Amino acid sequence: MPSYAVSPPQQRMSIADTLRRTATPGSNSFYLREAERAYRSRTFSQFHTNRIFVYGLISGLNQLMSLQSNWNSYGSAAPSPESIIAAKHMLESLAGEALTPDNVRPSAEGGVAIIFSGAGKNRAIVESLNDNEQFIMLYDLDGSSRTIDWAQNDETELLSILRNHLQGVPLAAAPR
Amino acid sequence: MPLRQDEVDDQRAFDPAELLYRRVSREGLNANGEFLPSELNTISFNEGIDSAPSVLRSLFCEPEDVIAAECANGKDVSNWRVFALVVNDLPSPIVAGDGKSFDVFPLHRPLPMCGAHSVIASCATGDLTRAYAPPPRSVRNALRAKLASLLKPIEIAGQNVAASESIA
Repeated sequence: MPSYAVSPPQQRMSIADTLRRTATPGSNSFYLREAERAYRSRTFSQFHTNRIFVYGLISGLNQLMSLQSNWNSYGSAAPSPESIIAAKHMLESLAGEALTPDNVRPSAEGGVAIIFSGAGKNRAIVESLNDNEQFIMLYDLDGSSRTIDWAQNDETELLSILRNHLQGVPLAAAPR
Repeated sequence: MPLRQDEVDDQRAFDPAELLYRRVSREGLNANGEFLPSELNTISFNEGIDSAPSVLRSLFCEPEDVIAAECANGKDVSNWRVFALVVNDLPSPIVAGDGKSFDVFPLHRPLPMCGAHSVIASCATGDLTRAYAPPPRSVRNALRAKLASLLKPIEIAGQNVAASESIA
């Protein structure tokens, strides 16, 4: 004998149909307005767009698994699985702070490099290497640079320094 | 065709105006065409001077030789870009956070099929023997950032490079 304690799952469309049949003109326009607002929010939110882009980079990281040594013709090692996993965690942290990289590349040092372009001449690379080194390299097109170890510093502060750099704070003025 | 090891004189000193060439795939440049420091390896300073950042010296090669398979571990890099920097522009010394100072200099290390092959080597400042000295990460990254800023694209026939940016 069937039990009716739990309602059988209903198709979404049938729920919408039910709502439509019972809707008043006022509630119907409210529904359409809300649907439009949600659509616009998803479509035009830079934050949302950036997050989608970063999560695309995270899933793209798996492609680095198939890279062979000497990928750059200078004998560099392919990224290790450990460096790729660490890079995924770093990208997730960056996505949480709406810091959007340009690209993710293998590093000639052996590992993964997360590439950023900032305001003016400011640039940055976050690297996760096969030897477990993880750092942020802030630099500019004049050749100045600053390296900050990822593991030995507070992540919130690190990301704040990275954000300020990408927004154009000169390296010379940054605290050392 | 690149000169072989037995066709070059590895005792010839580097002229300050000599060029050092380095190739990079198009993916190794950012959207603005800038050379990315992550395309330069310095981690191998730990293992030995021969695997320091590789370059080709212009005294014994043409830019086209840089993208020849003989100088690229047999890899097809014919559509890669070639960048160059002037020897005299090599950043040296580079000072670490703890005050230790490192000199950077070119060293000719010809390979059997690539006589122009050289490396950008490092030693502690003031060491007359120029013995290999592994620099800390901050110095390695400083070297990578400076080299990346100095490397300028070279025009090669059939490759499209903005003339205003290029060295030659």
